Order: sequence, then structure tokens, then C-alpha cells
Amino acid sequence: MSTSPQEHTRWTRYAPWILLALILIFPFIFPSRYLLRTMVNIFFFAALGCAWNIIGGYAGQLSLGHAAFMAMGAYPTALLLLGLNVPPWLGFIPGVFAAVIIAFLLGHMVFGLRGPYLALSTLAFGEIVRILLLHFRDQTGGSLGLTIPFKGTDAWKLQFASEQPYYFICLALLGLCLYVTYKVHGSRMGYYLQAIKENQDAAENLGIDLANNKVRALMISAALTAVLGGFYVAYFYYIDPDSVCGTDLSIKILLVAIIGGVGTVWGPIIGACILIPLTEISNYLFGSGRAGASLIIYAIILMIVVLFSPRGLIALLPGGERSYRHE
Amino acid sequence: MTNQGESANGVLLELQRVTKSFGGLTAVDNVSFSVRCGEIFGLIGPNGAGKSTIVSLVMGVYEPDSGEVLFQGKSLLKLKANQVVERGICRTFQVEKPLLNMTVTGNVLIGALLRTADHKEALEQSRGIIERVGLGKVGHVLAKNLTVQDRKRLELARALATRPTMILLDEVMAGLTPLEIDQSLRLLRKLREEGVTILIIEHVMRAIMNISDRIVVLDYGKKIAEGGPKEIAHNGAVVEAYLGKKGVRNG
Repeated sequence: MSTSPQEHTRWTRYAPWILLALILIFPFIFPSRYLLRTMVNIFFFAALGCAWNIIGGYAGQLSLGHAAFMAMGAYPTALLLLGLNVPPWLGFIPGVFAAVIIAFLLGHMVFGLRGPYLALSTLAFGEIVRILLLHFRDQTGGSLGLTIPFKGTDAWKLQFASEQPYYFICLALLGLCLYVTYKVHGSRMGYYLQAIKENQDAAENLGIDLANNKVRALMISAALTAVLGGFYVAYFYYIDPDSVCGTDLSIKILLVAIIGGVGTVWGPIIGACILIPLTEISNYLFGSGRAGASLIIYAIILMIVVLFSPRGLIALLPGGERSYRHE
Repeated sequence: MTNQGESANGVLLELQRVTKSFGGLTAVDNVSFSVRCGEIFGLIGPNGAGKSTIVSLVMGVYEPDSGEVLFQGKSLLKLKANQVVERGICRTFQVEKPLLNMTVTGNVLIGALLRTADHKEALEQSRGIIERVGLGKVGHVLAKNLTVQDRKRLELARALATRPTMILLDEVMAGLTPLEIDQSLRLLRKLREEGVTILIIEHVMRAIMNISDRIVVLDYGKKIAEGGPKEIAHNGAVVEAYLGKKGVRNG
């Protein structure tokens, strides 16, 4: 916070590139499967956090059912792969279309609501999708889920025996989400979303079309989340309504963004870098009490952030405050 | 800078027999008046007279129960607030609504972005407006850290950034010192010179009598007087509305 302007500029100029270089060579220096898996998890949740951030962070519309969009990407990908041997990098496309259309409809339905009522309606939306997935068990496999058999390395189907390819694919997806966030951040829509978040009445009286902007943000966010749902199928080989559509997942996604820094480009990455390793540590320490233990960790981190740095941990970094403000 | 699309006799905004009730309370009762291009039009009346309701009716926050609101000859009735702003009317809020976590420049920039999607152009315009309203020194300050007078200036600056044909000022003088009021009046006169039509709601009599070309007085939702400042000041019904019958009897 008290770096001189020259030091500050040097740091912000070179640090990202150094970091990127390290990330790119990391899998070759540390080929440990476990470490690489953890890194993929970090990338994955950072990307999900970025996607959520567009509607939840920038626009300030708390979406508590975002996992549903991931399911909308995952299920078509899995079904097309299993039924028609369509590779995941094609199969996700119908999923994205579905997610965008449903985001459009959902947005127009619920964005008239404010505050807790909006949050509740998105929570209900997530649950409705999950229950529908359970209900149509003949098509979706219900609670038994869908298992993708691994038949040896097959690049066409994105099946790899080693972690490295997944590492780079997920990193690329994270790059995509960051790029989209960056474009939104610098665009007129980004400014408008921030205004909407700050004060909807003021925003409307400056000529901002509330519904349009919010719905478009949701559509972008849903599309990215659905793409990540497609990756989930290719990487984890198993989906079921709870793992890809559960409220736990929705909450984890938004935590990543909130802890790191809502309404910033890099915030979710920081959030994932904190949350994922801590989850791993808690799983290691508390063994069988797994699910409960990680939730306690999330709660503690969230409380710490809200008390000491409500705008996210990114605000604590040198130059972090600049991530929020425009002009 | 602004485009005036007035109807034949120079009328920019027209309310025709507008009525609005909330439950059992008639807030605006059969009110009609017109605002001409380039004028400064005052709207006064005791508290609860319906002045702010009229602003909300014009901005599309409420629909009138009956009557018509015409701007540049076209009806505003079915429009949402942001569409009214696009047409060229902008309001300031009596209780200011700054975008707290953004800077002064950021706040005004949002307004300017309505008319141009080009960031650089919008920023230039914003800086110009910020200078004109007297916020030049605080452009980088977060809105939540502004003084009251600066907050009011920010409300005005943001409204101006949308390049309105007409501005509705809702009690902008409240809480200002006499010196600050004079500064504001000078600014409003400059705006009028630039072609902005102004409808101003005020309680500060000194201000509104000083600056208005014409004034309409409301009381309990009804229009009780209309005319120039001198006529209004001597209008018995107006004095009575503010001071009550007793006040009139005692001179």
C-alpha cells in the first residue's frame, strides 16, 4: 500500500508475466499427479468464480443457483459423448445454447426482484433444475449419475492418462473467462453493471436499462459456466445432480469470487488460490468428517474476509484498490 | 448542444389534467401546466402538495390515473425511467443518490456514456461538466466522501452528463448557505443560456423567486396559482396555503 509509484509500476508490469511463466512450466517441474490435480481444481474454480463474478460481482445480483448452468453444460456433453460418441469439445455447444436461453428467460423473470428475494429465487431455480435432473432418471441417470468410461488416451475425446493436458486445457478456459471478464470490465456494460450494483434508482435515472443489462450479464455468465460444465465431464468422468447442480457447488463458486474480490478481474483467482488449498488441507486433517469440515473452513474464511476486507482479499494487495475503480 | 423539439407554440413539456391517487389520497389532482423551451419554470407548494409526485409521473416512476404527459409533443406515459432519460429529460433527487463507491469522475462518466459509447469522449465530456459545476478539485474523490454541497453538485453534474433537453431539479438548494445558493443560481442561469430548459422545485423562496420565469403553485395536489414571481408573491391563495388563514388575517 505504501510502494512508491516506480516500484508499484514495475511490480504490476512484470509480476503477471513472471507468474504466467511459472504456471506454464509448473507441470514439468512438479509432475506430481496430486499437485497437478490441485492446480486444475484451482484453475477450474477460479474460472467458475470469474463467470459468476460477471453477474454476481459486477452487477451485484446474487445468484445462488449458478451450479444449474454448469449442469446445463455438463449433461448434454455427457449424454452426447455416451450416446453418440460426440467429443466433449463439440458436445458442450448445445449445452451453452441451452444455458444462454434459460438465463435469458430466468433473468427476465427474476430481475424485477431485489435483495434477498432475488437471491431466494435463484436458489429455487438451482434446486428446481437439480430436482428435474433427478426426476427424469431415464434420460439423465437420476441419482446414479452418468459415468464416462476411460478407454485409454484418446485426444479426440479429450481422454488423457496424464494430468498435463487437462492442466493446460483448464488453464486455457481460465484464460477465456479472464478475457471475457476483462472485456466486460472495460466496456460500457461494465460501468453500467457497477452503477446498477451501487444504486439501481440512480442508474435508471442515468438512462441505464436495468433489465437488459442484467439479463445480458447473466447470459454471458451462464454461457461461461456451461462451458466449464463441459470440461467437468471431460475431466472428472462422472456427473450426477448433486455434484454438478448442488447448492454446495453454487455456494463454493460464489465464495471464490466474494473472498477474492467481487467486481474485479483477478479477484476470483485469489479466492480460488485460498479456498482450494485450504479445502485440501481440511480434507487431509479431518479425514472422514470431510464435507462438514470444509464448510466450516469456508464459513471461517468468509467471516474473516467480511470483517477485515469486505471487498475481498484483493483489496489487501499493493495496488489492489485500483482493481475496482474505473477511469 | 441540446436539441429542442418543441411543439408549435414553443411548449416543451406539457401536463394535461394529470391525476394520481395512492389509495385514498389524491396526490395530484387534475393538474395542467406547460413548460416552454428555454424557460426556468418553478414548482412550489407546501410539503405534501404533490410536487415530487409530479416529477415521478414525468419520469415514468408512476403512471397517472388519468391525464397526459407530453414531451416534445409525444406522450411519456408508457415509458420507463431510463427511456424518459433517453428522450432528454433528467432529474436530480431530493435525497441525493450518488454511486458511493465510485469517484466523482466515475459517477459523471456513467451519465455521459448514455450519449456516447466511446470511453475517451465520455471522459472528456465528464471532465468538462465537472469543471463547470465546480467539482474540478474533487474529481478523484469517492462519492461517499463528499460534502453536502458537493453531493448536490454531483447530482446536477450527472444529470447534465446525459445531455438533457430539460432538467427537473428537486430541491437542490436545501441545506445550502446563501453564498452557495447564489453560486447555484449563477450556474442555472448559465445552463439556461446554453439552451437547457429547467423545471425547479424549491422551498427556498429567495432562490425560486429570483430565478424563475414562471411559477406554478400546488396545494394538496391542486394547482392554485400560476404566473410570474411578482404575481405569485402577492397572490392571496398562495400566501394562505403556506401560512394558513391566520397568517393572512395578520397581514
